[in-house]
Amino acid sequence: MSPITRRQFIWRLGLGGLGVRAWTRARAASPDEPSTPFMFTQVRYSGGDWDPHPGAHVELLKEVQRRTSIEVSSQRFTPMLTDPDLFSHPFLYLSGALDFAPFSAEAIATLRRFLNFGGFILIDDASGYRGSPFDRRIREEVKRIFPEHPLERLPSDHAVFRSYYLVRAVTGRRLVSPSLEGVTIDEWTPLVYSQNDLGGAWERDHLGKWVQECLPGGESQRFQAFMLGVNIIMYALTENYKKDKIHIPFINRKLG
Amino acid sequence: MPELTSTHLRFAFAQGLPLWQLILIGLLVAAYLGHQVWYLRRKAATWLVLVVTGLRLLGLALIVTYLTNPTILTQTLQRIPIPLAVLLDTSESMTLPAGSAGDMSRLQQGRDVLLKGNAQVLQRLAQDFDLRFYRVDEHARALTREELSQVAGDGRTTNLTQSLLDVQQEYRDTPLAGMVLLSDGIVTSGGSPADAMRHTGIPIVPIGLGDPEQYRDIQIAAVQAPDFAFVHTGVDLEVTVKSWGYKGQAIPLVLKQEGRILSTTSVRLEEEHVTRRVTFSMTPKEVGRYRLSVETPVQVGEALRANNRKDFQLLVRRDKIRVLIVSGRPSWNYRFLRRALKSDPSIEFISFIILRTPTDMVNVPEDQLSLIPFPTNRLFTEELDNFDLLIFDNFSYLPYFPMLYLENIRKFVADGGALAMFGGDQTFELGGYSNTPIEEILPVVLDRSGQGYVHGSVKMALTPQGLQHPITKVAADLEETKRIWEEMPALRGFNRARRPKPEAVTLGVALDGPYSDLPLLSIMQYGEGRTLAFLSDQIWRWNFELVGAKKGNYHYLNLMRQMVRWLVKDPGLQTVQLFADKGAYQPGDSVELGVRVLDHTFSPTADAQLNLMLQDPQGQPIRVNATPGTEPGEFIASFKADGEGAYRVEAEARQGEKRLGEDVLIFDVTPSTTELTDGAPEHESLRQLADKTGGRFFRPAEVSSDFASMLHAILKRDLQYRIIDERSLHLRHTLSGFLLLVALFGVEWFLRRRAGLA
Repeated sequence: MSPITRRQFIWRLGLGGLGVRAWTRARAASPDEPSTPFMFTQVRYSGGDWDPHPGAHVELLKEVQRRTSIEVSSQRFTPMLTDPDLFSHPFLYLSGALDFAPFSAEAIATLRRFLNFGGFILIDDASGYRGSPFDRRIREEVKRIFPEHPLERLPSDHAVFRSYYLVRAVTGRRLVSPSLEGVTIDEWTPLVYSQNDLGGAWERDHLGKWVQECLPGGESQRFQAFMLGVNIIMYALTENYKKDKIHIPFINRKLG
Repeated sequence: MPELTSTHLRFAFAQGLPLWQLILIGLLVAAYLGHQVWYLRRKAATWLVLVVTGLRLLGLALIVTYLTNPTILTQTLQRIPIPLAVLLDTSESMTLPAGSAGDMSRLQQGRDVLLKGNAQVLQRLAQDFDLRFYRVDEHARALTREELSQVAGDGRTTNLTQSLLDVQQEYRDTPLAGMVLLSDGIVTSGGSPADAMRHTGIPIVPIGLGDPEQYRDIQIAAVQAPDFAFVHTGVDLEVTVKSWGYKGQAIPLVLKQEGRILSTTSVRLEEEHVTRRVTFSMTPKEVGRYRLSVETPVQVGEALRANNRKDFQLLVRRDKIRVLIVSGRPSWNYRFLRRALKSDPSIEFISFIILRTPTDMVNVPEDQLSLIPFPTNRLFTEELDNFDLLIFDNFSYLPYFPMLYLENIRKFVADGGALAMFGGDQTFELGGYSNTPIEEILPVVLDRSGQGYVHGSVKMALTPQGLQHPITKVAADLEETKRIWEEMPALRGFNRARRPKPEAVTLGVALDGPYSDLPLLSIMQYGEGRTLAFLSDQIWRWNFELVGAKKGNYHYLNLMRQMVRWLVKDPGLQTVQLFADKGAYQPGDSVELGVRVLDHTFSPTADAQLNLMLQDPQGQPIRVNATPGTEPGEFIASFKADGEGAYRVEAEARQGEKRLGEDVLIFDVTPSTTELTDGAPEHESLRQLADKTGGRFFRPAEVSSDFASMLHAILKRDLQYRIIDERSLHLRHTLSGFLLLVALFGVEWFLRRRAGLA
């Protein structure tokens, strides 16, 4: 091997660095690495508490990964509504138990565009009681986003209740409402609202214990909350797939 | 035979006096004579006074009369004949037999009416009328009497309304006695002549040629078919059959496609003249333009043979483009693809998503899951041909069905189906498609390095072919297309292929980085079908991230729709497009043909060789040379279509040894009128024309030697005269007039003298 000059050494070092950079920008996947994992994206907002259950997504995503073919990312993305990367993540989760500052006009317009063009948001009232400040604020904000489309109770045959599991009960940490509400536009429901604190039912602590008890139904209620969570993610990714004609006779047979 | 000239005497006052002067003179004379009577009554006998006064009155009256110059006129008058228009129908229907088959033509019958017996009828008419002759079909044209016997029945249209109005217009400033119309009454264009002429004040005397009672024919009068039908969907064709003179017979009807019998039925003709409607049902099996006909055999004694067949075309389209999507897992790529296809009403799709893999653990009984079986056997052995396009979206077949089904998919494409494969970590070589029938039909050579999916940000750049191709040419302008694609968000991962196949066309490649120029979007023709490889599962970002940049999702939707349409060979995306300057032609017309040839990248090609094959209605080839047009890839050709029927043109384009494509065009050359399709004489319309204009309908047999006098009675026109000689005799300039005056005053003077009166 011939000796090289100092200048050559520096050049080669620089080219090597570029090579590493190229490798980090584009690299081949390992055989088990999913190409486009599902990213749990939780909206941050001003005022109130945007993250009442910081670990809720972890257990839900494990459940999704374990039970379904959906590949998930263990990371959580937490943008503001005005984040330029918002539209790289079509699924949003917005939670809270307290009142919060009204969204800016720009945030409202962005969210409206996000939902009108194919995005999805799950709103979760973590307060655990009816008529909470979060609930009142959310209803006002939904009116601002969709003045023409009110929040309405989702019927029991809505695709969100049969997108993976056949969900018969709407639960969470609490049973504040027996049903989900949502805004439906042209057979697609881009906004789903739960008042039962789903995140509270999904969250474990670092030692693996459930952070909060599910009342009044206990673990079976928590189990139902996970089923609903899986279904909501599945609905966001498949839309009304389970309302396609080919599925209807099978599902009706199972539902008796 | 009435004299044309006559002499008449008339008495007239050549110089009139105003009334006031006459009254004044009358009063003066009355006063004078009154005074004379009063004066003489005392000197003479009353009778003498009255006689003398009477003579004086007569004398004075004669003087006053002479002041007005009384004249005797002797006039020699000549009668002026009023024009009478004689119209002979010279449309093609007049060449049909006047009665049953073999009789003289209706045109000849019309001539005979006028000219038989040494043209007695015309001679009689000419005595009273100034006869003007016209031939009528599409318009009225003047004829001489000599031309009347030679004129041919060659008018392609009968527009009696226009013809009658033409004649009326010619006599707008001169009187017209009326019109004698010799016609079979068949009107093929224009409105009702009776309605048009009813207020013109011109009596029309039609002579109905032909004999409706003896007319025998069977006509396929109409076929009511929709403008287009859908493949695999039944369509009804309603056929209208008219018959004259075949009462009690049952005739067969046959529906044919280019000579091949599709269906038969029969119709019973219950009356002498009957119109029946029959419905044929057919289910087109293929997309395309169907050349169909309904026919019935020619019966004995039929006046027309050509109207026993009716040709028509039926355009058969896909009702929907049917797409089968198989998705390896729920993903945003599926979600946005689904929305794009759902928003296109011409696309119908069924999707199967693998919601649970064999390794996923389910914690509930099966009856609490909404999952349905993946009917691979049915889909890939029985139902595949019912779809136009199969999309594998990040799907690996390995856990679900044997490689045998992949061979079925290859055959499906080879026979004209289409396959699109979208990228991801479960597809292309990662899905186990290497060395399978699927690899054979894909446009790319799969990578076997084990680095099948590349994570990282990469933008797609269009190749020169991509800038022209209907899938990726998202704007009409190339620069605009380029600009739009530069703005498309980066993909965050893609499948690595070794290279495109030589016969494939790559529309998009990785723009930069270590994988620069690797194919991202390639297409290929395989057998009769088409395939597409989109080597990424991140295409949805071209939709949603562009929405986030406030640029809308139009280009993504357009891309997906165009992709589907190209794959299923939508007629609007053909590489060879053949067109004619008109939809229908008449015999003798010049037909201008145009061909637009694009190469396999959908770019206009200047070095294409075009083979244009033309067949006349008898299937005989016609030699036509196509010459290059003004634009690259354009060819033009023209020929004269002399014969009637359906002409078939096939255009096949090649580039060297490579076949670029073909197109077929069928067009009809038919006479523009229906003169020889419905030949039954329509005397009823002629009767209405006579009734509404104050004329009278005649049958040819009723036109006899006294037709002229009957016509006089019908037309009721006052005779018109012209003075050809006139003489006048002024009485005051005559000797007898002077002597009469002298005699009156002389006798009066004598009586006065005798009676000793002053």
